[in-house]
Order: sequence, then structure tokens, then C-alpha cells
Amino acid sequence: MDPDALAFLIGSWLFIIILVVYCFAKLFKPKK
Amino acid sequence: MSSLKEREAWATKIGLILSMAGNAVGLGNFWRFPRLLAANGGGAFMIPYFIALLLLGIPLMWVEWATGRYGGKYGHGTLGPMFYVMARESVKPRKALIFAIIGGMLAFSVTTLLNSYYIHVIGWTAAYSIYSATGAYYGADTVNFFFDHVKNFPMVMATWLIPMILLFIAAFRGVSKGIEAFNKVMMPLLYVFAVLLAIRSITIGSPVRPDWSSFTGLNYIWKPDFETLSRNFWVISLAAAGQIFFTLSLGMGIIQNYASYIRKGDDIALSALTTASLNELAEVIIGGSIAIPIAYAYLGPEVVKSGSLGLAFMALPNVFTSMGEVGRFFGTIWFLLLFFAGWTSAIAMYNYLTALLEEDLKINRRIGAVVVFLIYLMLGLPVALDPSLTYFAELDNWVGSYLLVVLGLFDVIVAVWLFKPDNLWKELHEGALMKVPAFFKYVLMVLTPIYILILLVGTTIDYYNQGVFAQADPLIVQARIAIIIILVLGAVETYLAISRKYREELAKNQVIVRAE
Repeated sequence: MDPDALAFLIGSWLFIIILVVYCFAKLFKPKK
Repeated sequence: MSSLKEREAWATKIGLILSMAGNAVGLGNFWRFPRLLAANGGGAFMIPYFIALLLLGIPLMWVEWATGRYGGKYGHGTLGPMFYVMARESVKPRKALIFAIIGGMLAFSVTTLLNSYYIHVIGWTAAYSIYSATGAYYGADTVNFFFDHVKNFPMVMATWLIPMILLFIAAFRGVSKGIEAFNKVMMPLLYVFAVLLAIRSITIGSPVRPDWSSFTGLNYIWKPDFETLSRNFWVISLAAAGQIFFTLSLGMGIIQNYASYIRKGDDIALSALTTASLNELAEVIIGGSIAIPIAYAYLGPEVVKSGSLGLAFMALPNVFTSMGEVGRFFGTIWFLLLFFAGWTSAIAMYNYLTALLEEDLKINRRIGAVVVFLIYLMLGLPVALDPSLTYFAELDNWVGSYLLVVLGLFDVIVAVWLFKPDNLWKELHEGALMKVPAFFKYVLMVLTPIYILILLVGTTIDYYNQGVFAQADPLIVQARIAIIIILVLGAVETYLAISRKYREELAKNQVIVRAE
């Protein structure tokens, strides 16, 4: 794959995956 | 004033998230997104797409969730009365009624007319699931096969009944026992099917020509193409912003309807962001890894870049045929995936109308579910009887695209400006599990409405240049008449619902009714 395309793909996918993980972790964090 | 005592509510947090994600994740993610992406230069499209997501999509999601929960406190599940109680914060009740009527009629037109053809597309996916499993299109010209299918009225109606009966059952059973229960099954299955297809797509190699592979398809999507973008800046930016509206189910009134069933004090800020991010996971990562890469590997760049309606129904069946017997399995799960995606969005529109009958017109939910079934049967018939799809395309031009953006503008006017930004922020943060950065408040006050206005003006000019206004085909005229009639009916219904509940307030022209 073209390096620019690969960088854009990885950056975008990471952004979305981090957002999903962050949201679920915070949403279902056990209450103290 | 008691409201939530009588209103249904989501039973579980995961049920709410999956239902809202089901609402947003629809045919737009797997069918419309690859089509637009392919036709608008791939990597050139993704740049304005992400900008629109951040400046339009996510901020408007917060607005629509806050609008819904606020309206739910007054016992409202439809947009007209929600707009009314919000607009009263800045203008007198009689003026607030005007904004309410605009919001009510727009949401009514979308939930009736958009769903009238959307359910037919879901019916096509049901039919194609069967065709894939039986290998019916193997060896056939898939373009002719598709048009033969839409001309086959008995088959179209029979497969239309599959989603319709399921929609009826879910709406009949109610929010938690119906909609939530169905979403809890369909949404995980949707993600499993989508991941299976995405893995197959990426690992397919170069089955036809060495220079055609799924990776060259991914390259097309992800290579930042500033040159194409600068040459077609407006067209691509408008398509990207329009897709953000469609994919997140914004400007329809259905996010607000689902949010109205959230209990007072439950989080909406983080839940809205979770829904948006789940939608993007389905659209960009999974959706973007299926149709285009797989079609690129089997059919080559020219077919992909043509970006026709046929990518899902005409091009991909060729791919499944080329896979041989295993293609039957992948074809079936592809169309089942589309079925689940479409159905979980259609139920939100079905429920909007059921809530409208139940709350605004005091018709029992179960009887309301039957009435809505009959409404969709009546409104869907012209779609089924027009195999040229002219009527369908005209409805899609207006209620499936243009009016969503108009309603998005009124979202900002009413829920941000008239309700006042501080009130919106307070509502958004009631019970919130996250703090939304204050930066987004200013985005919503200034940037989002400017963005929407540019989108509206640009789309109007685009329609004018394409000659959309000058078209006089009888089916196009028929579609426009249907839209006008539905808008008028929506306006009358909203007026009646509000004037019945807020009679005294409107007579005195001062705010009397307040939620607890």
C-alpha cells in the first residue's frame, strides 16, 4: 500500500478504535 | 407534572446503546457510504468526511439526545412538542408554536416517506439473502436480474412483508420488550457478519488480475487526494456532510424519540458519543473494508468508481458468483447484514409514528402499531409499483437528503439558540458520565449553523444545476405532491397535539406548564 494511504488508514482507524474503547470503558466502569 | 411515570423507558444501558447504534447504523453505512466514497474520489472524500463528523455530526448528536430527554420529561416523544417546550425559553408560546410546527412537519415527512421506500430496500435485501442462499443470480446478468426483481410485484410485496411484520411485532411489544429486545440480537449479529466479511475481503488477494486486489481498493479509499478535492471541493464536501447526516440518523426526529425514553438523571453525553463512535466503527472501519476492496479485487477500478446504486445489488452478486459455492455463504451474510442494518433503523421511524399516535393523538400503542402498518402499506405501494425507481429517487432527493439538513438547521435554531446554549449545556450534563469540552458549545452556536447553511445553499445550487427543479415527469410530480400533502398533515397534527396539551398556555401566551 502507498505509505500516505497506510498512514491515513492507521490514523483514522486508531482514532475510531480509541474512541470506542474509551466510551465503553467509561460507560461500564464499575461504580465505587 | 408527571410524565415519566406513564412513559416507557429503556430497561438496560447496553440495550439503549445497541438500540441507538442500531438506529444510526443503517443501510447508509454499508450501501450509501461506499457508493459516495467511490464516486467522490476515495481519499478525497475522507478528508471533508472527518471534518463534518467533528463539526456537524458529533455536536448535533449531543443536541438531539439532549432535545429528546428534555422533551421526554414533558411526556413528549415527537419533535413538534419537544421544539415547543424548548423554544418557549426565548419566545412567547404562540411564536414557539411556529417553530414546533416546522420541526413536527419535517420529522413527520421523514418518518413516513423516507421509511416508505427504505422498508422496500430492506425487502430487497431479504429477497437477495434468499437469492444468495439458493444461488439464484449465479450465471445471470446481475443488472437485469435486479430490474427483473423490482418488476416482480408479488415477490417485492412478499419480501417487503418480512421486515414489516417484524417491525410491527417490535412496535406492538413496546420499547423495552420489543425494540430493545430485537436490537440486542440483531446488532451483535450485524457486527459479527460485518467482521467476517471484512476479514474475507482483506484476505482475498488478487483473484482476477495481479493489479486488482483488496489492498489497491483500500489504497483508493485512503490515499489523501488533495488534488481531486481541490478540483471538486464543493461537490465532495457537500456529499461528505450529507452522508454524516444520513449515517448518524440526524435531522429525522428519531434520535430525539429514542432519547425521550431515557430516565431523568441518566447519562446522555457519553452515550451519544458512544453511539456515534460505534456508527463510525461500522461505517469507516468495517463498511469501508467490505464493498469497495472486494469489488476492486474482482471487478476492477472502473466498476468501483462508477459509484452506482448497483454496487450492493448488482456488482457484489458478481463477486459472490466468482467465489463459487462459498460465495453463497458470503452473499447471504452480506444481504442479512444489510437487512439487520436497515431494519434496526426502520424500527426507529416506525416507533416515532407509533409514539405520535400514542402521545399526541391518544391512540393505544397496539392499535397505533396496526395503524402505522397500514400507513406504510399505503405509502409504500407507489414505490413498489414503479420499477423505474423514479418516484423512489425523487423522494430520496428531498426527504432522504434535503429535508434532513433543513431539520438539522432547526435543531440548532431551537435547541441551541432559542433554548439557550447554557440551558442546553445544563441538560446535556445532567447525570453525565463525561464533560463535553466547552469548545463544542461555541462550535454549535456558530460553526455548525454556518456549516449547515453552506450545505443547504450548496445543495440547492447543485440541484438547480442538475435541473432537478425543472423535471416534470409524472412520477416526479406525484412524489412532490405526496411530500407536500405529508408536510401539511404533519403541520396540522403538530398544531393539534400542542394546542390540546397547552391550550391555556397558548390562550394566555405565557409559560404555565413546567416539568418537575
